[in-house]
Amino acid sequence: MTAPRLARWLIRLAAPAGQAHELVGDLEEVHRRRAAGGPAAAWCATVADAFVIAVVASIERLRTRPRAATWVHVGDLRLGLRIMRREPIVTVTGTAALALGMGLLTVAVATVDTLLFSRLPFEGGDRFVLVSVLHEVERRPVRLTPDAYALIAARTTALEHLGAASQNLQNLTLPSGVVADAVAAGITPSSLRFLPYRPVRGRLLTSADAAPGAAPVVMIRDAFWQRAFGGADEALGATIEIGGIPRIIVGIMPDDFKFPSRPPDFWTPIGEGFLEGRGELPVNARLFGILAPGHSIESAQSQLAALSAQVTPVSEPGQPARLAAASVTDLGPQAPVMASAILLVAIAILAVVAANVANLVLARSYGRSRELAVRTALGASRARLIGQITVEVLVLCSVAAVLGALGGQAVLRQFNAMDDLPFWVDFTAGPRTLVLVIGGVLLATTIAGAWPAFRVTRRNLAGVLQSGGGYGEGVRFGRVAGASVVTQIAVSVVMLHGALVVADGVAKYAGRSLDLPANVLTTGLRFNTGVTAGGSLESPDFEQIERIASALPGVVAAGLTTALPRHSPPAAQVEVEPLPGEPARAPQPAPWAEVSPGYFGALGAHAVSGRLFADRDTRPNVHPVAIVNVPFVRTFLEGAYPVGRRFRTIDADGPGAWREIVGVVPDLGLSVGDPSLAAGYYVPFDPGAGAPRFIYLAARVTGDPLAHVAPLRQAVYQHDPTIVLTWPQPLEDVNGEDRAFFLWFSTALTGLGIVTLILALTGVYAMMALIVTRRTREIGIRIALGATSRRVAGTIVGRAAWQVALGGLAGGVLAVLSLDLRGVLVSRLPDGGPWTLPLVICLLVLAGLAATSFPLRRALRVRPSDAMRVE
Amino acid sequence: METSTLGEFELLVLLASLRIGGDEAYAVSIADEIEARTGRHLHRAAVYVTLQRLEKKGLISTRLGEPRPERGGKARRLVHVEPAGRAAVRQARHAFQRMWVGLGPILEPR
Repeated sequence: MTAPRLARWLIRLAAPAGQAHELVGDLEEVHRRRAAGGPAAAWCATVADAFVIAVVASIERLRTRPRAATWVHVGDLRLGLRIMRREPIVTVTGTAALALGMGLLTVAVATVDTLLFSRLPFEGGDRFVLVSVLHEVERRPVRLTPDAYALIAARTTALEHLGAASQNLQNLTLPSGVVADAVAAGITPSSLRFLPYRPVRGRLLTSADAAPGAAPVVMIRDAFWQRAFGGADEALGATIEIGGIPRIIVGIMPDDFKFPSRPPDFWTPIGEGFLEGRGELPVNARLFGILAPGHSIESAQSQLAALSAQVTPVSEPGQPARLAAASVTDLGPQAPVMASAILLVAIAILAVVAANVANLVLARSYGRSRELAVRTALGASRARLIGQITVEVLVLCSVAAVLGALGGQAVLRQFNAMDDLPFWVDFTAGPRTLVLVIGGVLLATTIAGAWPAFRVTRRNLAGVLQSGGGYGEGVRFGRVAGASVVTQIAVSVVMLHGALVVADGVAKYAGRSLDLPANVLTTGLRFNTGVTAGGSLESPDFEQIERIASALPGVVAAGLTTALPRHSPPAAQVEVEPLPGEPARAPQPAPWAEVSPGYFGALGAHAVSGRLFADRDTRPNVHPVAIVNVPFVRTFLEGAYPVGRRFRTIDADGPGAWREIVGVVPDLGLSVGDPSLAAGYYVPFDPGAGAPRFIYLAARVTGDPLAHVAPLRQAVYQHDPTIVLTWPQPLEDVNGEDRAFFLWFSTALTGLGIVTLILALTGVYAMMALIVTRRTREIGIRIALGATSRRVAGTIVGRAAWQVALGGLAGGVLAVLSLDLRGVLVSRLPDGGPWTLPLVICLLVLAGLAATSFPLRRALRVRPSDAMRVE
Repeated sequence: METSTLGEFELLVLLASLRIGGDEAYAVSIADEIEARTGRHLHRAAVYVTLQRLEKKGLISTRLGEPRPERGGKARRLVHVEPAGRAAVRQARHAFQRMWVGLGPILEPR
């Protein structure tokens, strides 16, 4: 009875040289004895036995192996550098590809580090806990009744302190009288004692400052002090008007005090009455707590969860709320999943790149067969040769890692320069990044160095010398190398195609001319309801704002909207009422926006058909109307006369009311970039819909649009100091950041695709060059026997052509399939034109021809007499 | 002649090899012998590693025996204790004996 095959295999794998046979014999003997107790039990026991023997034998082998210094020499590093200089194609291509992979890994690891391990960067920062108050079912933030906050403060013993903080944009009147927007923060003054920062001038806010009837005060940040007051001492005690309320400056805080999120320009006190059941918490303030000594977030969480049933949202009396505690820097349960995905993708890309480089190294190592054979003849062990090749690649990988890390740092600097980042977010490569990048170097070295080294030294190198064989004699590119070339060609086709599709989309998205006037100023209107002394939730008077803007000198027309051109608002499912005798049409998506009567005038648009909105359309309880754009007429009405026709939207609650089309306007870029969403419609602006919408103002002006920002801000401020103008910019710059991002993304993708393609084709070149050299003698004989150049070329190019064709085909299929995945990342981009895939294939063929032409020319120039001398 | 210092398990393996004798001592029989005499469960992997070490120290030598008399029977690696091995065992015994002297009253139960 023989021992289980798995057990024998384990023993053969790990047994000391020459002893496997006897060990298997012993195993079988013991197995036979065990078989009496049942075959299944014997099988398990013998396999376990073999496993232990294999592990112990392996450990013993490792323990007694020759010291590493005998197979890795410092001289190999010098040799590695020399070879990098001698073979510039391998060096440049390999380094560029690996540097890209390493750069990507650096950025990915630093991002993951930031996502998962950010902490508040001050002493005691880890004690800060965010207390979420959410709707029990819908999980949206809600406000509680005042007594509920008092209950939380009193019962949550895991929290030593409960406070509130807010942050938003507010209007500020500088001493010069100019109105500017500033990042405003609110904080409960008693929370300041847990923040280890002291004023550089003046004093901190106190609880007395937040008491009802107290004089309004403010603390400003050092940078703002320098900017607005030139660092003058007179700033202390001076008054600045914030959101219409004059406040006395009582303290100047150092620049490194940035609580609660984005570095604020100033801090105002939040009344603390809500903690005792008096007064209200401002609308946009969030609760936070300080963990008591000996307590954890989990204990705070369990106490808050227990209180959930006893607190009630102010908007839903009688309903429970959901209380939860989380670290201030916690990005939610999705963060680890996202981080793992980012890391895995980066490692996968590095592994693919390293596999590509492995092919180059393999071809190069075969080319050095003679050198390796001579070294073997002089007594070098296989381990020594493997060590040498691996160290050479380690040098390459290390250089690439340095370049990649530098590039990654540059990208991370761009990340850090982004606006609106919380102060604790720092995309800087730290020690964890360094460790993982070193891991990446080792991974890449193993794939690109150790694997080819094992492969090339597996051959009988002494035989190379004995047979007098020349360069590459007896070499075969195996299936793995062939598959690797095919894979990298396929990957490069996918990447290049993706890059071209994105580039095409960017061109359509960013470069599309909307035929709109150049002198239009646009701005967001932010309503700080709830942060003023009154904490009002009333809607601002939109119509009045439109009138104020229109009346400003230099303003030709002004209007309000919920989505500016290029904003690509969400689409609704639209069903057009069929004419009598017409079949009903299936609903289709169409983006839409609310606009005031002045909006089309502000964009200089006229009705192509019918009329524009009038004031009467915005009044309550009137017949619902809509204006559609020209693509809507084409898509939904097949070009039929639209005015008077009706359509309705269909959502989860069923169909809405019918809307009558009263006019048609040109395509004003409601949804730029995606031709399938070009058809859209406008409905009258609803002034009573409340504040929590994004409202934009568009004003057609004379001269430079930006010159009108200050007067507009001033006029709006005088009407309502709580309304802040956000992102004032010319119409042509709207969504400029998105467009810049797409451009960057497309450039990066193109770069990666081109590098991958070059790498793949360098692999083809290396393989072809080696094949020609190996078969020089055969080619010579065939030419001597009268073979035509075409036949010889066919033999030589055959394999490479197959690989390029197979890679191109696989890449083409994957490229088409991956278009669906693209929507995950850049949903707003259109499909690429029909030319992209053929263009990529043409590029591939051209590049393939270039890679094969040089070796082919060499093959066709072989003279029989030279070929015979090769041996 | 200076002899190697023996570990406890090395000593047990040497003693078992001597007991079994030249043509019958191999890893399985040595493991069985130690288990039978000491009542201690041991894994054969430990015996293989110890035999390898003892061979490296020159205390034992091994040779391949005849194939086992069965279909596909494989040869055993037989163990022979070298004179150096015997000397090491002797030295270990003397050391133990000297250490034992005078400990009887302490170790024996009253």
